[in-house]
Amino acid sequence: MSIFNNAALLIAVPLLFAFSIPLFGFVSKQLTKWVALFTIGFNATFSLYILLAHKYPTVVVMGNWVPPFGENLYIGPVAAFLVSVISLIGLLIAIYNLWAIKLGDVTRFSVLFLMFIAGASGMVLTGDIFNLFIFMEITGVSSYALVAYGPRRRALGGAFKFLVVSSIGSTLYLLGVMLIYTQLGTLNIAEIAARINQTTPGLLTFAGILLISGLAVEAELFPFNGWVPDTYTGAVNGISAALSGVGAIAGVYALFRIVMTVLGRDGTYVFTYGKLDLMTVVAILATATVIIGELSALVQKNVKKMLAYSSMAQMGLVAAGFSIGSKLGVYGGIFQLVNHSIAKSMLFLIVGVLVGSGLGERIEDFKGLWRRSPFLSLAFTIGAFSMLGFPLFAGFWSKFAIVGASIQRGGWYDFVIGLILFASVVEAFYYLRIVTYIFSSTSIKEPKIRVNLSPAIPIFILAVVIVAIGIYPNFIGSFSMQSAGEFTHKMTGYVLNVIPTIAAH
Amino acid sequence: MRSDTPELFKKIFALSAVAILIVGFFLAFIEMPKGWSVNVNGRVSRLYILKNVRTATKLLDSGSFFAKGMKPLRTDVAYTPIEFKKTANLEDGAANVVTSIVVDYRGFDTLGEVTVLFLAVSGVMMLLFGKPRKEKKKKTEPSLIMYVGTRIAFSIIFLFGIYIFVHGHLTPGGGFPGGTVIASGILGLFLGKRGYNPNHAGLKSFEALSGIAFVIIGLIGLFSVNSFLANFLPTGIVGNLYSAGFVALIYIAIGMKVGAELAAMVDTMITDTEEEWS
Amino acid sequence: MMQEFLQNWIYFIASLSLVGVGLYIVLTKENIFRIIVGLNIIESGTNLFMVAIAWHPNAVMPIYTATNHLMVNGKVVTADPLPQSLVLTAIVIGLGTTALALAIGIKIFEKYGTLDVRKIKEAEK
Repeated sequence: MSIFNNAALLIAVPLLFAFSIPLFGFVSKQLTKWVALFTIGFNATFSLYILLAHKYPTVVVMGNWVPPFGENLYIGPVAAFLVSVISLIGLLIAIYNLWAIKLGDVTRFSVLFLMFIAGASGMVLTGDIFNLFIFMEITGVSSYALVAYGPRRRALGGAFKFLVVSSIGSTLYLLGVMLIYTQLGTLNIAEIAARINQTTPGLLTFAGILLISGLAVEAELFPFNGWVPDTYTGAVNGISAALSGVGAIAGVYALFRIVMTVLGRDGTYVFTYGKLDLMTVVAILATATVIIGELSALVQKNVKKMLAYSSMAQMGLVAAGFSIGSKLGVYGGIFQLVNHSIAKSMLFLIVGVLVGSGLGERIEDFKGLWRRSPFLSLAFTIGAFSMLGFPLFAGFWSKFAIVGASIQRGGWYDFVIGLILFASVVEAFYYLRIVTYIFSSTSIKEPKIRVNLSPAIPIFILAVVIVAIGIYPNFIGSFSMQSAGEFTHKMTGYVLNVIPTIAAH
Repeated sequence: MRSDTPELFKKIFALSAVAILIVGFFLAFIEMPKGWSVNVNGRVSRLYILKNVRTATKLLDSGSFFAKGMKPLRTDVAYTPIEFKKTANLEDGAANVVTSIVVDYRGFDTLGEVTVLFLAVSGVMMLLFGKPRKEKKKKTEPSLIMYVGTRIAFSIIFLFGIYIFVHGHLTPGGGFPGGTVIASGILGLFLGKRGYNPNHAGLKSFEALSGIAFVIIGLIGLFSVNSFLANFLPTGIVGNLYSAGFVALIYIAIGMKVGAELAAMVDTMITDTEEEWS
Repeated sequence: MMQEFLQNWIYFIASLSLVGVGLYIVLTKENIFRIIVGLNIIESGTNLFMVAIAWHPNAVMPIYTATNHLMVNGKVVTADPLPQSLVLTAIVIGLGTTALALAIGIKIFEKYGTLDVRKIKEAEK
């Protein structure tokens, strides 16, 4: 067990600056956005340092109490990689916010946005099952308020719906945590994971169902994702980008940390009850999510709503990749998750720039965009191609990996191939529809769209990253492969790194 | 919540969701330790009551802590019972075990909890942000008794709130109840006088500074004891006012923060604002 | 027998019925304020459940005083203090969520002039 306690700064510094942003607000409101930006920048730098200097796997002990007794953060390959992705995407969206957020209570907006990113990082970092609940609430509470920000009144409906669904979800999660506590008397993820066989089967099944239904809310899986379209459509575009790019990563991570590490076993993956194991339940939910999400996206006239349904469907694909359960499947899932975050947040930012310059949100409004802004049109096309898995774009390699994993696993997992093909065909249909609109010519001459520097930087960087991953996938792939090992090898990958003396019971 | 679903269908759906929950919980409750069979001795919180986590880490080497039939107390490990007002220099000197868990053993949770409240209040302020409305709604003027009474009561309530959070490590209570008591006193001031206007900048900076104080106490732990939120002060004798190290300091910070925060929230919710997006 | 049953089950039945009632309210009611009340009922049910799993019939309070002994014959006899501290956290989080929900409700009433979910949906179309 190596200990790297200074990594607690990943949580402490954002908290310190979040508390002090109201003081900066006395000086100037616009200054607070810069404070948030630099704090997220610190997180990004520090997490990249941990990732690239290979400081992981390591444990961060809180309050000087060693893991099973106190609380700890665990930085394995997964956490190091995903925290870097979260804070980098958060940094880019913060740069976009410099331009987009000028009205209203900017001070409080900066506080909430900063803590949204820090809360999502905390969800990925934490090694305590109750602490995960706290970070879920930090992410949740800040995102409800952020969604409700904005002059448009439809934001409020989306925010309220999200609040209701998400707080019921976190209550169910809390009940599941307490049910496990009655059996094992501990809240540490590593200890629960090692001792999960000491619980009684009926209680564990019900606790597992509660935990999954609580976490599926943020992971956008089927029966719990009714909030997605309204919330994404109502929110300001920067926030939609943050929800799909940052919130979804944290949600999916938490779901599979619980399903694969806490409720799983080495080799057999998950706790089984009868013939149905919890991983199969997740696979069924993921399939339903993909089908419903893609078909709903197909009929949408509003671009933001279409992107929202597409985001839901992509989360289903990620979950399907994870639920194959083999190392290659989890690799595909993580890769797809990261690719989706990059591409989807870029698409939302582009829509934000277009809406900011007076364009409508309907698909027809995109007609002839090529003449008005070649840069945004190209970036949108790159994002769309990556989403539908066009070869030599980032999304291709991850979908390819998931297909490969399902062939390798065999059995009834072959249906995942069909699922991916179905998703790709439907996605091709609705994304290419927009792309053809963009490149079609219109007779009406309209003025060119000027893109400011601050939204142009994140869009440009994200587009370059998509192309770079497409040409050289090992760049992200190697990190994804290491992360997959942590998920599939529960004892050696996670538990023994946190509590070295424990043996599986 | 969809408007186009028929009423009956919605009720059936809700009833079936509730039924699934009831059946599931019933199955879970049967297998759960209840009543006399609840055994604190098998749980990690036993060590918090003993205030002896450091010794327990030595048990980890043999792995006996994780076995199912864990012994209630090991005889081969030296143990002296804790006596009120006598035992000194424990790991955590708080007489109230719940407090020592909240602030010391699981202090990171509490930091998150403070943050959630702070974010909720920030969200409320962001949503209700705007210029105060010119023409005020008609409200009944409070009577003179109300005005004088709330002013007298305020000082007592304020003092009581401070008492609660300063004695958080000895008696039931602590930062959150204490802060709430203080905020209720300020709510009384709002009720006592129409248009009562507290010092907004003062409340804001008070709240910010006490929040910063909490994080800085944690950072002092990181740089002196090499662990975030570690107790860096001597723990003293159990039951004394000056004991339990940094527990009292953190509870004072929390109490002031919660009091200022809830007062600011009450203020935001009472003031009638008109938003402007221009 | 009856006492045994009450001691073992009463808190769990109460907390479960609170959660069930709250869930039913949230799923069926159309008024935003009632939905918030439903959320609060669910939260109370959860909190009661958490306190209930900490309790056993001969529990003493987990505070060291001159007369209160937490250990008898080498055995811990208090109520479990860990769920109690978690309840403290859960209550505060519930308070924050409720405050935010109420603020959103205030804004909805300002902008739509109603708290009825159906009317809000119609106004959006």
